[in-house]
Parts: sequence; C-alpha cells; structure tokens
Amino acid sequence: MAKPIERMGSHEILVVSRKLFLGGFCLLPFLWVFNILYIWPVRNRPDLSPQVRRYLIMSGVLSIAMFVIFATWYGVFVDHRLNWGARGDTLTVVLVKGV
Amino acid sequence: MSSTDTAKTSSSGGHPSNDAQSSSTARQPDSEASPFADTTVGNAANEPIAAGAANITAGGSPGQQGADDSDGDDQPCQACGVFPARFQCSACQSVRYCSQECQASDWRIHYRECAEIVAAMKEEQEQENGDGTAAAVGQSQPRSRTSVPRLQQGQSGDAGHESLQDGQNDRPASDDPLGAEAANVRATANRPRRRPREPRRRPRLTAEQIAAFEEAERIADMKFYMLQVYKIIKPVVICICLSILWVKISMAGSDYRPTQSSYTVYTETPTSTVSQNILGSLANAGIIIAQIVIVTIIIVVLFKRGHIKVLIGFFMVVVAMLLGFMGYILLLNLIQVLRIPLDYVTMSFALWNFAATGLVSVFWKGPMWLQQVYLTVMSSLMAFSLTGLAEWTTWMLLALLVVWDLIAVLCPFGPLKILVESSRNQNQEVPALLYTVNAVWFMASPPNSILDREADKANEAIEFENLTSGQSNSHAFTQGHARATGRDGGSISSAGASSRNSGLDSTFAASGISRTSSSMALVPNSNRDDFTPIESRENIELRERQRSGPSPGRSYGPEDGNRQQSGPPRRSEDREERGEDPTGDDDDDDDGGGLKLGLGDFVFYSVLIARAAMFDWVTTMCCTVAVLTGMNATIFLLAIYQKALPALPISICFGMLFYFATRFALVPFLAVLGPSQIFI
Repeated sequence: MAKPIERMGSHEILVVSRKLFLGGFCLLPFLWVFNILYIWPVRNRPDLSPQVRRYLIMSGVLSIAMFVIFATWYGVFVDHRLNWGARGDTLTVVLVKGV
Repeated sequence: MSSTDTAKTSSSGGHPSNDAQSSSTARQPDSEASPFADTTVGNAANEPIAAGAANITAGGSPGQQGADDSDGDDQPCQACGVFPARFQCSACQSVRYCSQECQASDWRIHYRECAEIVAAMKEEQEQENGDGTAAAVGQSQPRSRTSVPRLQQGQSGDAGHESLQDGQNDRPASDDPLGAEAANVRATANRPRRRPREPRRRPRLTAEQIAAFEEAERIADMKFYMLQVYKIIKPVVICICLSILWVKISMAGSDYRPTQSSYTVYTETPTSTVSQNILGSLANAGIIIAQIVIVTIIIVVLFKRGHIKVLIGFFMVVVAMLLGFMGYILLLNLIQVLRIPLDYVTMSFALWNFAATGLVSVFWKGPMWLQQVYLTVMSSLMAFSLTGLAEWTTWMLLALLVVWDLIAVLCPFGPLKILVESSRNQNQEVPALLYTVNAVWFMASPPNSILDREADKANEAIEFENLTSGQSNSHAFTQGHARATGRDGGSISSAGASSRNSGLDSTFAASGISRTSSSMALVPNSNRDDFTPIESRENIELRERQRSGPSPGRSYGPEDGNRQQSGPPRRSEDREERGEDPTGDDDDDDDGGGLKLGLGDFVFYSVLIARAAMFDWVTTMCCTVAVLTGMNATIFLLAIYQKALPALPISICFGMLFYFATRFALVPFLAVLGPSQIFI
C-alpha cells in the first residue's frame, strides 16, 4: 500500500501526479479525479513543485470535460434511443421493460 | 518547565547532591532546548511547547551527536519509529522522539503515562531516600542508566554537567558487585526498543506494584480492544449492508442473478430428498473448500519461497476480475431492476474506470479511505457472487470453512499459521501488498503494535518506506523480531512480564491511558519533584491550542497536517511489528492500528447474511446481530490470547444458530402473533 501523501517528498508527489495525469489519457478520467483527491491535502505545501499544481488543474479541467462529453452522450442516447430503432437496441445493455 | 532537563540528572549521578545541582540548573536547559527547537523547525510557535513540562530534552547539540546516534539505536522514535531518536521526554525519560514535532504529535497519547511515570518515580525516590544508603543509590543508578545512558551523557553536557558525566563514566568500573548485571545490561543494550528496559527495572518493583501495573495494563488493554471493536465494526457493517442491498436488488426480479459455479457437481432441486441434499451439497462445498485450501497452500509456498511478485500479480488478477466481472454482473442487476437505459459505451467506460482506479489505489498508491472503500466494495461483490450457491451448499460451505479456519490458523502446521511465522522470519519479504490483498484469509490477528491506534488513517506504506530506507531497516526488523519473540514467550509467567510489556505498552499508549512500561515508572529521580500531573495537563492544553494555531511542526499542514504526522509515523513502527502477521488485512488498517481482519472474514460474514437476506428480514437482522456479536467475542479472545485467531468460527456458528432458530422458531412464531394482533 501506498504511504500517505503527507509523508511523501515533493519530488515523489510530482512523479505520482504526473503518472496519474498521464494515465488519465487512457480513457480514465477517474484517475484525474483520483489525482486531485490524492494530492489535495498537500496542495499548499510550499515545497511543492508548481508543476504539480499544473497537473492538478489540467486533471480537473480534463475530467470535467470528459464528464460533460459523456453526460452529453448519455443524454442524447436516452433521448434518441427509441428513435434509433434496432441500432438503439443493440447499444442498450439491458432492454428496459415497458418502454 | 523545570522538569525539562531533569532526565539527565538522575542518570548522571544518582547522588543527592548531584540531583540538587541539576535541579538548580533546571532552567538552563530549558532555554537551550527551545532555541534548538526553533532552529530545527524554524517556527517560533514551538517555543511554548518546548517550554512545556514534558519537553523533549535536547541531546542533539552538535558535540554529542555521535554518541546520541549510537544511542538512538536502542529505541526508535515513539511517534514515527525512525532512528535515531535523539530526544527523550524530559519528564519521564521513558520515550524517545526524533523531533519535536513527533513529540508534540505524540503528546496527546503520552501525557497520561508521563504523569503516571513521574508520580511513580517520585514514590520510588522517596523510598530510596528512606534507605539513605549510598550503595542503594549506586545500585539503582546503573539500572536506570542503561536505558538512556548515552543520551543522558549528551544531555548532561548540554546542561553543563560535565563533571557529573565523568563520574558517571567511572561508575561501571567501580561497581564490581554489579558486574554481572552490568554485563547483562550491556548485552541487552543492543536489543531493540523497550524490551531492554525491562530486566533492569523490574527488580525494583514490589509485588503489589507489579500487580497494580499488570492490572492497569489489563484494563488499558481491554479499553483499547473496545475501541478497536468500534473501528472494525464499521467496515464490516458497511460490507454486510452492501451485500444485503445487492441481494435485495437482485431478488427484485432480475434475470442476472449470480449462478452456481460450473464446477459444482450437484444441483439442488425442490424434489430432492434431505439426504440427497446433504450429500450433494457436501460434495459441492468440499470442492470449493478444496480449491480454497489448494490456493492457500500455493500462496503460502510462494510466499515462503519469496515469489512476492507472482503473488502480487495473482492478487491483481483476482481484484481486476472481481471489480470488472462482478461489477458487470451487479450492474446488470441494477439497471434491470431499476430500469435504467444504459448503453454499452457508457457502461464499459464506467466499468473500465471503476476497475482501473480500484487497481491503482489498492496496488499502487492512493488515499487510504479510497482503498478502504474499494476493499469493502470488493468484499461485498465477492459475497454477492457467492450468493449464487444453492442454499444447502452455502451452509455446508460455511460449516466447512469454520473447520478449515480453525485448522489453518491454530494447528501447528496450518498454512495460515505457517504464513504468519514465515512472514515473521523473513520480515523484509512481506510486501505491504500482502497485507492488503490477503483476501483469502480468515483470521483476526491481534494488533501488534497498538501504538498507532490513532494512526489508523496512516498507510502501511510508511513501513514500506522504512523497510526500503536502508539502515533503519535492520533496526526495524530486529525490533519487530524482538517484539514478536517477546510476545511468544510471553505466556511464560515471569518472562511474561517483559513480553507483555513489549506487547502491551503500546496498547497503553494507544488507549491513551497511562501505560508506559510500568518499569519505567520506578526509576528514581529526584528532579521530578516539581513536576505534577496538573502541570502536565496544562501542558497538554497548551499544546492543543498550539495545534489549532499555526502548526508548530511542519511549515505546511496546519492542524490536520500535524495530526496526520502523528498518524503515519506511528504506523511505521507498527508496521514493522506487523511483520508478524502478514495475514492481516488491510481493511482493518483502517480500523486502526493493530487489529486486523482478513477480507475473507468480511466476505463470509456477508455471505451468511446475504443468504439470510434471501429468506426474510427478521432472519437478516438476527443474523447480523449474531455475526457482529461473534466478531466482538473474537476480538475479546484476541485481547486475552494476544495471538492470531481465526475470526470465522464464533461468528459463523452464532450466525448459523440464529439463522435456523429464527427461521424455524421465531418467524413462524411471529407469523402466528401477527394476525392475532399481539405485540410483545
């Protein structure tokens, strides 16, 4: 298990933050959120590299962007799945009974 | 404040005159200590703390560093477990710290024991004065000195007592009658932490004192376990509730309930007879148990051979499957029952994120709470997947598991016992991961170092850090060993005292009750006179206030930063000791320091209750209460036996008993009462 973030050196935090940030690009916005949650308690440490702050901000922006994209997609899907006919049905995981 | 430097004086000479001298100079070190603190920490806010009655006495003036270093080997920092710990609590001299921050963080725990030690010291001192013979003093002195010898030297230098120091150095040679003991002391001096003190000070206790201390220890121990119960019950209850929720949802008309696994040989049908059911389900459960046994043995072998990476890989696969596949099944249930239109794109995206984040946080790094959440959810998923088993098979499986658990943990050659022992022997090889992922084990183990009760939130990683950080390694390990061995031997009456201490004093610290290895309390020390518990209490308040203000310690992290500091450090210490049982699971890490409960226990508690939930709410509640009661009983036994115990038997037996009693007696009874409108 990992050691608590409070006990990490600033360099280690930087490495962790970068890895999480880059990992987020594998369609893993949760890792960006995770990054923010993880680093959050030490965000104001004076010895923290400014790079970390950049990663955090980027993570936040990108995860929000991903969220918006998927929320939009989901809204479109729910709205139009009945109009799409067979294609909509194949996309649906479990056909909703009654609708 | 006057007590600040007192520590050294007692060691320095033990002659009344010396003591008087030292107490007269008491203020001087004070002034020295705080500047020292300031320079290290660079924070003026420390000064009040430094001035506190229970200060760290600074042994760290440049000249003495070398001596102090070697001295620090004895005993790690009480708060963070780091070597060298160059400072000691000036009031009681019984604990060491590596820095003032550590002391500050530990103070909330330490203050009570500190007051007690000081009181006991006073008492002792008075007795000694009554004796009045110089010989007595001389004899007592070497004993007390050994525990903190070099540090005291340095400190006396600090306080300007060089002459005393000289006298002290001469003493061992002059004390011929004590030669044997001195040798003994020297031999023990290299041994890690706390234990060394025992032999020296024990003899000074009267029988009543010993009894009193043991009693106090026992009480504190019980209190600690009570606290542990609260902390461990939380994740267990959450896991159980989640399992009930999954079962209830999936029973509300889902087509995707987990099914009986394909490797079972017998399928219950409504028409099958009881004997068929029993034999068939016995066969099914036997197959599953055999798998568990084989996997357990393989894991033990891999661990003993040191193939840790293989193990980690195996656990990663297991966790990934659990989160991904069982998450998928559960999601199918959820969206069908709740009638959520969900498309494959979103679902695979969400599952991928869920599983990947879980893997990262469990196996790599992550905030503790997230790891705990994942482990709890994993356990409930596992339990959910096992609800696919037929009813009779489930009960048979649980009954066989109880037997297996007893065998594996308690028998001399039980695999889990072997695992515990081998991990103890090859401390280094226990990756933190094993603690984390030992999802398969069914045992509860006692808190090894209960010290970090407060530090629950801390990660095991610290230990890791310790282990990897080169030098401190060896200390840590030896220390862990010492503890372990201490506890093992503990059952033997008189030897038990020391072992008990090794195990328990940490307990005391944890419980915030004055603990302190009782032996410490009896060191003669005249200087302490003006130090009163009240004073110390004030001190605490002071400290607490300090905390809420700008942090005395770190430049970052105000209050919580400080608190966090206090946590993790302890944990490291603990963790070393934890080497004792790798089988412990991480879930309880969270529950606080020491107590560990395997995820396997979580899973099978939940399986039992999920099975009950498939029948009736009354049964569910009864079984929940029964299982939790059984868990409490196990923890209680843990407090008594102080060794790894199987956690399943009591809980599962209770749960099964209550299930059948409720199902065949209570529920029909209620069914009769209900219509006739009788309320009990």
